[in-house]
Amino acid sequence: MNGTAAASCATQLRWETAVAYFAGELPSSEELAVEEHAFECAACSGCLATVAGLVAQVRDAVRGGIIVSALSRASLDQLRARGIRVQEVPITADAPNETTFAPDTEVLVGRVHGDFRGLRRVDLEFHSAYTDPGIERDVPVETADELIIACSRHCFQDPKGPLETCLKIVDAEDPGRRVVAEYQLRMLGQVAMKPVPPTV
Amino acid sequence: VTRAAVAERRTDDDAALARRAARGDAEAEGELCRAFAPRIWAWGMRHLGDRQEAWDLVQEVLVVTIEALRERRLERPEQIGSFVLGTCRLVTSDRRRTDERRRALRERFPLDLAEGRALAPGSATADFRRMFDCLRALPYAARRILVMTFFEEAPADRIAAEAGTTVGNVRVIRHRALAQLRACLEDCAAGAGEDGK
Repeated sequence: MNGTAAASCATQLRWETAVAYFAGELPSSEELAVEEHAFECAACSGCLATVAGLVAQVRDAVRGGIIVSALSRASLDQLRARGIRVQEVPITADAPNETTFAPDTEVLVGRVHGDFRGLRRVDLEFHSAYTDPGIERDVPVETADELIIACSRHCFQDPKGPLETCLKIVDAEDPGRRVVAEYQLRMLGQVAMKPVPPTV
Repeated sequence: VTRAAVAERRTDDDAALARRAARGDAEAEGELCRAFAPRIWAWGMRHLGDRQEAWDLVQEVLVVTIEALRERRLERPEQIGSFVLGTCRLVTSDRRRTDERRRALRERFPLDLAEGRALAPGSATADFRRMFDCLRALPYAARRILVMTFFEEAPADRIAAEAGTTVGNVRVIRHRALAQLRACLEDCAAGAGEDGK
């Protein structure tokens, strides 16, 4: 809080301090000082509440599979540990990959199999007839034989029939943008939208 | 009028509200609840980590606070902030033992915090689509850092190692990403407001 004296509010709580507070990175004495000040000062508590609201929305976004198209194994483990209903489907390059978004699925996870040896970072390009291509850039490659992608129910809210997507995996470090692999994804059936989670 | 002066005046407002509430002013009770709900909720998000748990905490702490005011147990209304913070800590420390009590309190004091929720920053009209667009406007690396920090709860040094950067840089990327997200959500909300006119 950079020397903010409780109750006097000589110095406003800094944004980065509020973010560090929610990241759990402040020393305990500073954390206590932030809290004591925030409960006395409406202006600074507003800053804290703003960050809290954003953190809550980030967490909701992860649960809804909308924040990143590529998941790390650690994130996948966390989703499961928190009771999120994850539906996993294998994705291979040799045939169209058909799947259905099950009604009780919260996050649909594709385990994309391929030969990713020697790659450090890739771009994921999602090409669909219905929308502009979605490109996820500089995704780190964790293992040589698999990438984990997450699909949001939200992405399929307005399918005009089976939603077909071509996933291209591009070597992000190759100036020539070498396409490492291509996959055909086909979403079948109605994708019912879940109620929008309450936001804060 | 400086920001500090505004903040100080608001602190005075809190005390004034507490005094009025202690005299049985129902309107002041409501205003006090709306003033403190976001603060309690933010504290709950930090220490409980869950949106709903945080709102449960808001409900319970406000009930305890209003009870204390009505019963004139708060001797120094100017310390209402300290009292509420202390109540947050106490309530959280024996949270599991108070599950039953909480339910009973809710029935006794069915406070409507819907308005308080709406006042919480970043909330009002943020919808899924807007959030989707604003998140996807951030670079993948920034989103990944947000996920690792606030969902995986990974320490900054591990995030830095994975991202191939320094701890300091992780922190900078993180707070800038949240600031960008806030600005994007606010811009969208303003745009939606203008469209609605």
